[in-house]
Amino acid sequence: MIQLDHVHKQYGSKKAVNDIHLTIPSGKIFGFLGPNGAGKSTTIKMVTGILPIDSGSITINGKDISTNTIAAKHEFGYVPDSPDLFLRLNGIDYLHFIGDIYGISADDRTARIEEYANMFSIYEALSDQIKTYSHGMRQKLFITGMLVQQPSVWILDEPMTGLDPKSSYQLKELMRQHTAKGNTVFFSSHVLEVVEQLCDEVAIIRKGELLFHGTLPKMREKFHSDESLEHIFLELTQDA
Amino acid sequence: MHKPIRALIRIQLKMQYHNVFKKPSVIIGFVFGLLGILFLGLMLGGFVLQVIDLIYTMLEPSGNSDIILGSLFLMNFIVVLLLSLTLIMNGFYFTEDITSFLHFPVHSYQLLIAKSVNPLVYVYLVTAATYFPVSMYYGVLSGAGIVYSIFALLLFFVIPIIPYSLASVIVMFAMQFVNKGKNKDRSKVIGGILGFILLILLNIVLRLQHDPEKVAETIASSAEGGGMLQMATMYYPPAWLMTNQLTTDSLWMRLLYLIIVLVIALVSFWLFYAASQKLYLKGALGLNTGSGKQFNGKGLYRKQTSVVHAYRKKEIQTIFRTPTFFLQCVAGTLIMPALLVVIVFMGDFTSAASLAKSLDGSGLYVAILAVNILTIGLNPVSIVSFSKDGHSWEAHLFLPLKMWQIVLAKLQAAFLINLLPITVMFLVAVFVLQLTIWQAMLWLFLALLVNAAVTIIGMLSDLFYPKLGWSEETELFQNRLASLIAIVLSVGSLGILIALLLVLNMQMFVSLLFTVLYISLLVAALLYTVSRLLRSANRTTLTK
Ligand SMILES: Nc1ncnc2c1ncn2[C@@H]1O[C@H](COP(=O)(O)OP(=O)(O)OP(=O)(O)O)[C@@H](O)[C@H]1O
Ligand SMILES: [Mg+2]
Repeated sequence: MIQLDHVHKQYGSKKAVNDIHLTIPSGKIFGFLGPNGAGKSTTIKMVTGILPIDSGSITINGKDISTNTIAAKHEFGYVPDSPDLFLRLNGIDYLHFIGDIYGISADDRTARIEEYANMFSIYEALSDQIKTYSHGMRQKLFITGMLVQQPSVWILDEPMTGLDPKSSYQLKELMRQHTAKGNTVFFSSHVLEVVEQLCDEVAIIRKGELLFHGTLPKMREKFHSDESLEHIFLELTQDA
Repeated sequence: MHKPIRALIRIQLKMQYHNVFKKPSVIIGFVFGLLGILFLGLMLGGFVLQVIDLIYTMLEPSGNSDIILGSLFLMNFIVVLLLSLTLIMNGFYFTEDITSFLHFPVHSYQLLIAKSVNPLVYVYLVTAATYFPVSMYYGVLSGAGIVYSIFALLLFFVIPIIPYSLASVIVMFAMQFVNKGKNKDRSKVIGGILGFILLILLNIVLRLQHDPEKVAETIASSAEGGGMLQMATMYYPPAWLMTNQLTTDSLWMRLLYLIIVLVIALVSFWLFYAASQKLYLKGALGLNTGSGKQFNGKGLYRKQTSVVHAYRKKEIQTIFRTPTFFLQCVAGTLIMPALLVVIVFMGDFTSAASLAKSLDGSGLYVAILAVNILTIGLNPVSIVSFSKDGHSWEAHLFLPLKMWQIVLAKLQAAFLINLLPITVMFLVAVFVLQLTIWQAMLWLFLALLVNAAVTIIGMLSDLFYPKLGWSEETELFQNRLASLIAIVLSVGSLGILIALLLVLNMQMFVSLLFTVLYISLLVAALLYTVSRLLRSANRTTLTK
């Protein structure tokens, strides 16, 4: 479970995130929707401890990211939107690095690397430097890293962009399995279809403000009665 | 035709220099760097001008004094040529941003002219630093007038063009073949090592005896009658032309020489143009990094290790796999030992050993310490501890890593990498200087002590002035305040130690105790600073 408590973030004089109050429950796939520049990545970066929070607080499984940082970070795995980290490491070195950082035993991690790297068809490239991977391959490597880690909370920033249909299908399946076990999946997207297919709950953000939060049926209902929401949907579907 | 060049040049300059002079820290660093160069220049310059003075008085009577200008032009040619080789290799082929230009509808020569702006600024600065003092001083000595000065200034703009064009043609020609290997990382390393070898060779060539009279005598004694200038400039005729251009009395002859020089410069520019159009793309296209090998399961199973161990491994892997880091932090640090070997082998082999023997205990002790400080103190590996992560630093913010784990692992990695040059130095010392076993152990011990201090100082400087927003690794090794601070701090603090040892002139054993005490205190103070910093600093301060 992720809890955002009246979170604010400002870049200079620009309000990127304005008073977001949100609970992302366990056992649900939670979609975070909004047009470009809405503040999705900024929010996710505060949740994952990459950006300091101006005011408000965020807890992950009850652990505060600002005060109980390390413990909170052990609760989640994160796949960034631009997967261009550790480019000089080989794929396999990166996965072992993650394994060591999160204290995954040698046997567990070997089994998981084999399973998921094969599932995402990056196994053969594991001895190459990440630098040589395509965008989608990098993303799949970072997803594999998260699966090696097996945290209870998954946080993914636009995970579907750049994935081929098969990988995207597999990731969705894994998300469903993960939440079925009572875990949390929190991901951002600006593609409406993905969210409609997959999510149990949705939050919509624009210009840093939370416009809507609720279940999918509730969203469809509101979609027909609320003009501003319809407008957002237009923006979202347009740039998809 | 000129529009794309201008646009390309503008973008080059923007990427290189934008915002550079807005930060006060950069300006301070720049000023200090300038002062340092000025200081060095004055020290060296005095010596050089003294030599020139002597040569001039010796050769004036026989009418051979123009050899000074001849050698100046020749020297400038060699220096610019060697310098350009490295600059061009990096600028034309190994920067990552070159790929972002390749799809534009511009001619290769247009791109390369734009890409030449930065190297040329550098080359012209270096040329100016040697050319103006010497040529002006010669003018004063020979009582030349305003015409001399004007032509000297004109020639200044021509001098670098010939060697620079030549160097680019050589590089473009060579890179066609390197590209056959299709591995940018590897060719980067090979290119870099070649550059180092050239530097060492240059060093051998330029090694001067440190006695102005002797240097002058050697040159003068080889001069028999006239024609010395032709002899000296036989291999590089433009130097002869330029010298005559400056020294001939007849204005018409001067103009004639000038025209010939300009024609040669134009021809070399045309060579640059032709090579760019014909050879450049063959060398630059498809320089890629992939090995193309399939993962065969090797290394799939690995033992679980501690976080610090895993992190240290990541550090070392990154350094070894990134050509720039490898060259600067590993191969580059082997240069000092290599230079020492060269100098010792070139000089009198046995006399080096007997010199070591002739030093009394404490003298030898201070010498060992000083050599270690100089060779280890200049290693940049710890100065890029944090900065080398660049954009990847962001990962530290979401991974459950404690700052002390990161710092410890980075310190260990830098310390371990420094062991390479230390080992080379140690072997050189033992075999060439023929140290006794006790002296050898002392050497090693002092090297490790110095390594500890220097590593922490470097890391601290980087912690205070990290540079994470780079797009090219080489940026980390150019004009950084952190490097300056680190070098000043390490050479300064350890220099004080040396001064103290020299002043106190104690028994060797007492000196040793004193050194251990001094460096331990230094290290303790540094570690205390680190721990204070870790407690107070928010890690995100690094993300700037
Ligand atoms: N480092 C930064 N400095 C200043 N402003 C920033 C920074 N990062 C983001 N912003 C601003 O904050 C706002 C929100 O950006 P954010 O990256 O969170 O959007 P997003 O919802 O993730 O968009 P996208 O769908 O394009 O990924 C934008 O207006 C952006 O200009
Ligand atoms: Mg985003």
